[in-house]
Amino acid sequence: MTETKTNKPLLEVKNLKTYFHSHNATVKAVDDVSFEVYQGETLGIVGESGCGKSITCMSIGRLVECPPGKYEGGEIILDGEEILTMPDAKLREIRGNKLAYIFQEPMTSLNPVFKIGFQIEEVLMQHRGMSKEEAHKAAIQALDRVRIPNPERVVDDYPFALSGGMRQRVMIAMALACSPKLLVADEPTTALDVTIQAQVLDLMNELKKEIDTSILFITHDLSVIAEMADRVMVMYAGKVVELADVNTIFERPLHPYTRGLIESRPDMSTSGTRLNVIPGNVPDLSDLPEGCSFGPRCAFCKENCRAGVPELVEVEPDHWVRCYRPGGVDLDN
Amino acid sequence: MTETRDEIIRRSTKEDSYWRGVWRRLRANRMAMISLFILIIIILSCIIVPMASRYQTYEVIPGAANKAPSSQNILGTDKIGRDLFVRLFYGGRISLGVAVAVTAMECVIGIVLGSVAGYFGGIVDTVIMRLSEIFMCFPFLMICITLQTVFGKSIKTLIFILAVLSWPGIARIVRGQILSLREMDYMEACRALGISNRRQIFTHLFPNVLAYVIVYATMSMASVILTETSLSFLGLGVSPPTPTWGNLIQEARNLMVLQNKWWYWIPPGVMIFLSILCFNILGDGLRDAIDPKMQK
Amino acid sequence: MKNYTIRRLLQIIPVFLGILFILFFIIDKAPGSITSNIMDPRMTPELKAALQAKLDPKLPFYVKFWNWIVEALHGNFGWSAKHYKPVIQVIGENIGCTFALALAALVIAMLIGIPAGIISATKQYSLIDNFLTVFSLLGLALPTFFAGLLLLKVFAIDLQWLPIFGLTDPSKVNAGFWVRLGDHAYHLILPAIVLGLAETASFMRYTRSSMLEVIRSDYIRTARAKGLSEKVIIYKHAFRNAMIPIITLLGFRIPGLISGAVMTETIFSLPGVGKLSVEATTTRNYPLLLGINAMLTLATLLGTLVADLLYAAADPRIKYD
Repeated sequence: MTETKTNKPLLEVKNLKTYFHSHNATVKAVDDVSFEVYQGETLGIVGESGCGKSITCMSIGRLVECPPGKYEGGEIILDGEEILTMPDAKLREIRGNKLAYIFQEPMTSLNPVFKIGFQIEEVLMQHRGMSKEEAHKAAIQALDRVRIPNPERVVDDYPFALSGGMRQRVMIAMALACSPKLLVADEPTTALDVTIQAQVLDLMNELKKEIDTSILFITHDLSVIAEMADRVMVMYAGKVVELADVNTIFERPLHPYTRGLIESRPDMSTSGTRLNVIPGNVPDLSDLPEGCSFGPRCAFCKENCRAGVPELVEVEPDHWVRCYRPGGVDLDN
Repeated sequence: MTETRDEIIRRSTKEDSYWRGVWRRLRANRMAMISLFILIIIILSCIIVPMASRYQTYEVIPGAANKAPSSQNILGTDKIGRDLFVRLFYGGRISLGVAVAVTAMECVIGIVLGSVAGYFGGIVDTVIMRLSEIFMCFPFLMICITLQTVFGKSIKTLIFILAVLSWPGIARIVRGQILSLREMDYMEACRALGISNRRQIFTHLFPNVLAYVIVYATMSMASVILTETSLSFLGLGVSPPTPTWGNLIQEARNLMVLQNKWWYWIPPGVMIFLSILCFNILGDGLRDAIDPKMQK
Repeated sequence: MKNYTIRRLLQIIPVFLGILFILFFIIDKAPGSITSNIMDPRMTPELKAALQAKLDPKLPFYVKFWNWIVEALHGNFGWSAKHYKPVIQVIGENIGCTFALALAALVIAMLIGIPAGIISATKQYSLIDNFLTVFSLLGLALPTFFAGLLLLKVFAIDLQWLPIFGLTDPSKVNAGFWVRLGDHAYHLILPAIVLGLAETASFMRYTRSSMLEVIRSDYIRTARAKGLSEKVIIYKHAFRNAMIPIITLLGFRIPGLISGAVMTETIFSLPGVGKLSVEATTTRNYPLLLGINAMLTLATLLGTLVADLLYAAADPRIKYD
């Protein structure tokens, strides 16, 4: 892991703030989030729904709808270029080319009235300047690469003819058509059956090696993270609460929330006993509690947790935690 | 303290706070509130003006035919000397009254047929839906005209005809709602809790369907006003001397009137326009208030 | 596609027969008859009864219905006593004007309403969106007859830019074909605008809400993530989808368009089916009334059929077989 650190990061997100304004409230969906993704690595982002992980990943390609959303501050530097201040035309050159997306809902993410082939060709014609015929051939290759049987036939199918798993493969084919440097996968397997899920994940891992892309992988499923990620970032209420490599996260989680997530996971060793659940609910982002957002649900919460918001600190090399009492021990000791 | 089953049901339906929420959201909609205000003013004046005016609706003022607006007759007089101001508001009574009556009748027919179709399904559903298709394909205005000829012109037959021709819309909405509600999780939960059918209908289906019916009825007021005034304008709706907004405008089919006497036709036209506009905006507002998901 | 078309055509038949049956039933129960409007003093009651028996013999209702259907299938829709012509011919002479009027209004509505709706949706809550939304609300609330009178007063009477009524200028009755066609078009400008106004408003409203729904969908986000330009996203990806419900609207608008045409023709004294039917009503010309209604019902049904087929063609998810 350390050798990747010597590289310049592919993606640098610095103090990103993405807020949603409605007439009576401001939702800080992404609040001062910073992280890096290095060349060839997979960074996993974990958190419950509504923790801001999806908005974080949308923000990278400026895909958040504005209004109601607004980028209130921060920088996103992808391969040396600042995304947030870039003109639209430049941004369009990057989207689908250097930076590609796979979304959660394969059933609704493909345009129902266009053929599969056309939807892939479009990307190639846009970014690679291919002719219609070249793009058509390349589209068939792209479908073949994601192990879709009979790509020559599927290329002329409409999305409704394909199953969810197949459509997600099409989405992957489309995303990888231009060999992007960064692939953002927003819960790509959540909507799929478990067996299909495993197939799609394997495919992604293989293709990642094949075209040497970095992946930003978002999920709420820890077992998926364990399989996919090199490093893991845990988010809670719009903030990063813990960031470390995948083994550290699973072996020595320090933030009480990360611990809660790991302990509430059903697995073989705990079968027969009651699951540990994190008490309470995800807080309303427009009405956060004073101090640490996780305070009200935390077993180790003390006065200072209610008084101020802790900083994200590096408690051991490459292990960052946002907590006054990581692992239940006061930080000062 | 443990809740009884009934209390759980009552709390879970949240009927009370539901309607309060609707009202709160509606009140926040400025356009809808202005429309509601204008409608209330129009309705009140239609009630009060004919009672308070010193002229009667059918009273011919001697020697006052074809007068332009003056302090005596605010909107002038017609060709035989009747005060057009009082006739305008009396006409409003008829036009709005017909709209209310038709909407009420149409809702009753539509709700009954729609819920029967949705609840029983099967062949009953097929027959009612096919029937509604037939009614929807009628060339509406033409059929109104034909029926008026056949049954004779009277306000009662007009109301009856319009109601009978308009029910499919509401029936389809009610049926659709019932079908989708039947599939919803909480209906499933009701069945699991062993709550009776009758109870399901009254505590769950009814408030939900009612919301849509209210929206539809508001919109329907607008469209009935439009249809009635159109028919009356053609001389095939309410017949003179009874005034309605439609047949008051009819005078303007005479080019001399159209050219020189705005007070014959502009005021009823504006009243029709305003009330249709306000009912439409109010209906839109109600729909948004009832279904906040549709907004943004 | 062929099978689907045939099946839909077959589905139309029972609905059409059902409507005809109801129409026939109502008209059969109508008071007065063909002979009741004959004012000729030489017409004795005996003669009248004989004529009545010849033109409209006393038969059971269902027999009459059956006879009418059989005759109609042979192209005979009855005799219009007032015009001394077969009903079908009278309708044929008048339907052109109605058709032209309705078509012109529909074209206006689509050419203005759809683009305006798209602009309104893509610039939601902007100044232009608010302006267009207000315009469509006003357009929907303005009754055809009132709009007709207002425009007539302003453009035909006060400004005298356009003709007041009719379809032909008396001086051009005997002119060449193209001159007459131009004259007809000139006479139809104002009526088509009046009829097109409400249609434009409803197309705009419908396009706006349809586009708004589509724009928020996942596949539009995908299109953005692919790096496509806004133009391609809106006019290709979004509009191809938003178009589908608009096509259905086309079918549903036909009865409304016919009702609107009736009003417009009456206001502008155009020789169309609308005006004809109002006349048929006031003169109790029942065969003509029945013929017109049958024709318009058929037009409505075929219109919805065409809309259905277009719908199936626009949406690949619908299979025809």
